[in-house]
Amino acid sequence: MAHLPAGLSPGSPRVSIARISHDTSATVCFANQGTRTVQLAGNLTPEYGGNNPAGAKLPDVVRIDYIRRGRETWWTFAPVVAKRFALVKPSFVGTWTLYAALGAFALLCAGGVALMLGGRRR
Amino acid sequence: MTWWRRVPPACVACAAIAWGHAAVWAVVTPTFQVPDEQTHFGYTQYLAETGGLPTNTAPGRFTPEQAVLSRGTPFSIEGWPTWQPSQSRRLHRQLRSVKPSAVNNEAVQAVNNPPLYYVLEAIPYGAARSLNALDRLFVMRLFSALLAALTVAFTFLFVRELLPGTPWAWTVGALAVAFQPLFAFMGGGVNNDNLVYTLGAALVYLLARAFRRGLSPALGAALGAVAIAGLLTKSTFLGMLPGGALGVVLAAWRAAPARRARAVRGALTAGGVLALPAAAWVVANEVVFGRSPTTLTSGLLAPSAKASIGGNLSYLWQYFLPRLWFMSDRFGSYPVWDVYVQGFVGRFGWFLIGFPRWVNWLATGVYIAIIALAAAAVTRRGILRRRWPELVAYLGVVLGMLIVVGIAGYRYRITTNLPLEQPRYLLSLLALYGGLVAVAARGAGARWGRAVGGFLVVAAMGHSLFAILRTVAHYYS
Repeated sequence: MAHLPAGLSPGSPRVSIARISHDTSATVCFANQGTRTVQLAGNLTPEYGGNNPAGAKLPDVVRIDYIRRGRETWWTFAPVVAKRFALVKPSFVGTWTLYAALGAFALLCAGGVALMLGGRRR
Repeated sequence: MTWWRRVPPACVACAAIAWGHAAVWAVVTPTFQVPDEQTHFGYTQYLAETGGLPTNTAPGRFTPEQAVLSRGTPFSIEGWPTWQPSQSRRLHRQLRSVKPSAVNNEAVQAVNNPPLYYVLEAIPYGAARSLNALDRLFVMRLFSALLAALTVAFTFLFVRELLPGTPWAWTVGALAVAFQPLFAFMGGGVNNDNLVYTLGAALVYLLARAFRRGLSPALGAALGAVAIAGLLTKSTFLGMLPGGALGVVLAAWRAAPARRARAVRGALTAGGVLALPAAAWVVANEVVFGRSPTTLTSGLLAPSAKASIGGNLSYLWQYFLPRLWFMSDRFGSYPVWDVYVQGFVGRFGWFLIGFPRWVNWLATGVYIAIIALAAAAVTRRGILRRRWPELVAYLGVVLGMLIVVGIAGYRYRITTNLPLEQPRYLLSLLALYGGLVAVAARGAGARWGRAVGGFLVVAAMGHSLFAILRTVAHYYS
């Protein structure tokens, strides 16, 4: 259980949770322990651009981000990305597939460059 | 020489690259994160399982397989999906025990669409029917990627007709399209827009061929066949037809006197090949398949008490041009910039994944430079004077698409107060984009042309690489 301070926060409030070692389901509850109405605002759900290019006022959406501990570079984080990449995918997909896809893209680019350079000889 | 031997090897290579690029996006994009993919999958499933066309417009209906997929697939239009290995394992387990069927089918939003794309997608669906739904969807995505390959092939052939004396430009134009990230993202998903792109490129190629080599009955038949195929794919293809018809008329008019009779026969053949199957489809749609007449135009021209001609004109004007003093402000922003320009630079997933604003401005600068170079090339050496009918035809195709999508957008907005227009609806004009890039490179002159063309293609590669990385970062980080 965590207590969020009253009033507006300068940024999104952060709550530390213990490390979870296995998949689990959880329900996150917000309980108002004060005497006045609480409104959740300022969430980072994009309001403009994306699927709301007209900037229409939408019902507020609460968003919870689970942030990994410490600071990581994209390089050290890549294996986690690759592991998530393989989830809910066709049967043949594994953690290798992300790297294979990027490698395939590089080969396609090389092929395109070779095609253009090959045209010089004609 | 048999026809496939006449296809240049470079054309085949560009098409293969396009297929590979779309296949990369098919792997990268999570399930149902291509717009409307769920309903297009549902339509195909219904058609493949029953042999008939869906008519049910009741919302929230799923086959047992679709219900398992929907519950088990992390999905969010606005937010970031969450990934759990146990959830993924459970989904794969459940999919092994559920069989494909057409009971209670989710084709709701796609019901109004004509069936051609889904008939074609039923082929990989059927071939992969014994696989689980995720694998089957992936096979269907790879088939869509084949359509992307054909689009690029037609782009190559179009540029060859446009610039017959500049072979390197054919590859430049084709690869500029092959590496366009929004196009590849769509090509890697199950969506009937992919066949619209292919047929749009085919139409433009055939028009170019008519202008360069003369209209003939065989060419007219091909034009008519592409037109009817487009109408049997999606009603937005209607936007291509006025410009296409104008092109056919101008090509016949410009024919040399000795060939005019042949050209006129070609034009009449095009009209006949389009009109007769179209009339048959109008009858069959209602009498044989029991579908509402509004499905002929995907609901585009359904009666609307709120729509007015004045309102539509005001909407179209303000979408593209500054508001006039007597018009009420419909948008409060500049929708061409918000939707079409930024969207063409890249919006992926359900329009949520894009680039920072500075990237959009940089890309706009590149597009302006391309247009300027192309304009310089066209106005040089009397090209505009000699080939103005051809350019007018292409302009007609572009305007037709903008107007049809604009009409659909107006009718949708006055009913739902939500925007409809998306840049993917205009990707049927991609062959013209490839031609524009090729002409721009040519316009850089004999000394710098190849270098400019190479730069533009490599820039497109970098553009797509960053689009892929942004998409991966959004969904999986």
